[in-house]
Amino acid sequence: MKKKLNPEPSDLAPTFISAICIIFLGIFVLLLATDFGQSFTTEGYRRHQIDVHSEPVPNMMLVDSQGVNQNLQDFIVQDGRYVILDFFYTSCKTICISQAAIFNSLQEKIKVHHLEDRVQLISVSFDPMQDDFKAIQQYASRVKANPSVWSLLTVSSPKDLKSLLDSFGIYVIKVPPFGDLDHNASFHLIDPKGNLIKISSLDDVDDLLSIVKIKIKYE
Amino acid sequence: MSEFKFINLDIRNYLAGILFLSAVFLSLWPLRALIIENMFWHMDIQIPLLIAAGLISKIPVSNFSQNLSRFNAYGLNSFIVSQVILVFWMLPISIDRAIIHWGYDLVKIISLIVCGWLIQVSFKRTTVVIEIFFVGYFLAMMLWVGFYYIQSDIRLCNVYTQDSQQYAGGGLMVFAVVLSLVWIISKLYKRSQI
Repeated sequence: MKKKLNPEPSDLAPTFISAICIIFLGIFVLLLATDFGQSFTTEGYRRHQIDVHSEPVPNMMLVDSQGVNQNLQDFIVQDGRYVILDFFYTSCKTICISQAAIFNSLQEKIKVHHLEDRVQLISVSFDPMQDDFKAIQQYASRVKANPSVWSLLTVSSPKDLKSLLDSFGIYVIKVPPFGDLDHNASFHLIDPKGNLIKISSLDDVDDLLSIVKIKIKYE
Repeated sequence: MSEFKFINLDIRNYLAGILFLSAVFLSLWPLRALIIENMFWHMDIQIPLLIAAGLISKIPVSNFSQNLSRFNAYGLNSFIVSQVILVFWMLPISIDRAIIHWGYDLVKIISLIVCGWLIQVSFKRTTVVIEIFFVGYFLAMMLWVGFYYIQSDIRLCNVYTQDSQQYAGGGLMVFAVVLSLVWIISKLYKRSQI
């Protein structure tokens, strides 16, 4: 005999009451997952997190283009300038080239606005197997980096790489078939105390410069 | 008669088991490379396999589920929960998390199996109007998400390349169209049977 599946209309109350509870619970779960509707992508999530709470940059040894070991945090704090930081690798043929072009024009803008002693640019290579200090030295001259404004660094030991990338929210993927590296591109604004205060997309780099200008004005 | 039923039950769960295992193997080494490198394998193959496994599995009716059915008239609540799970796994951030943290991957496998099973429960109890609302809404959303993945000029998932993202979006759109046709045809066929 076929069982009756659907109840009489008078028995619908339990279903409707639980439906309302489930809808609220479901919306709550989706809001939790998206940082209360702020971010639907990992990139957006990370940016929103940094907007709300700034984070200190990692205490980590890097090598500059002269082959000298530098602690990233000390490097920034001792220098005393705001930092706009990005990640690259020298054999990159795609996104790093546009990042370098943006940094290059940023370098000009910094000079035009006489901000050389308030802002510096740092590019960090995340390919320590290929990029030693000589490789980034060559790269620096190729992208016409002015050493007084734009420093290029590379990771000194490959085992630090993951925690460095994690702390900036960079995810590097190997693309088959040739194992080229692909990564999410973003610019990171760090204050003179060594705190990461803002992450922006490549298109919004001018915002970072205006944030710096506003901060300097109110110092 | 009862013997036939027994075999029927066995075959459906056997099939669900195959779908489930092939989906789980995609989360384990060495096949995991496929879903790590390729968004299409993740979104358009593994996730549908998990839902399908839940959808065709046959779980014996117990007293507990009988009592619970009081809260699920017309399959309304099982539809709502399955919809929340589907929306959750369409978010780029969730797709990323399932690749980066194994815990999320486990949650993905369990929740999508449950999702498929809940859809099965709903289909048994629902009326045409409620079914059109939920299925229509979901298929439209799937089509839209697929289109969004294709036309977006930024990478939505950090763990995948943009090419991979576009393939996955195309796959979702094809899926949405095929499922719509299957659903409409099956409705028309059922109607012609009455």
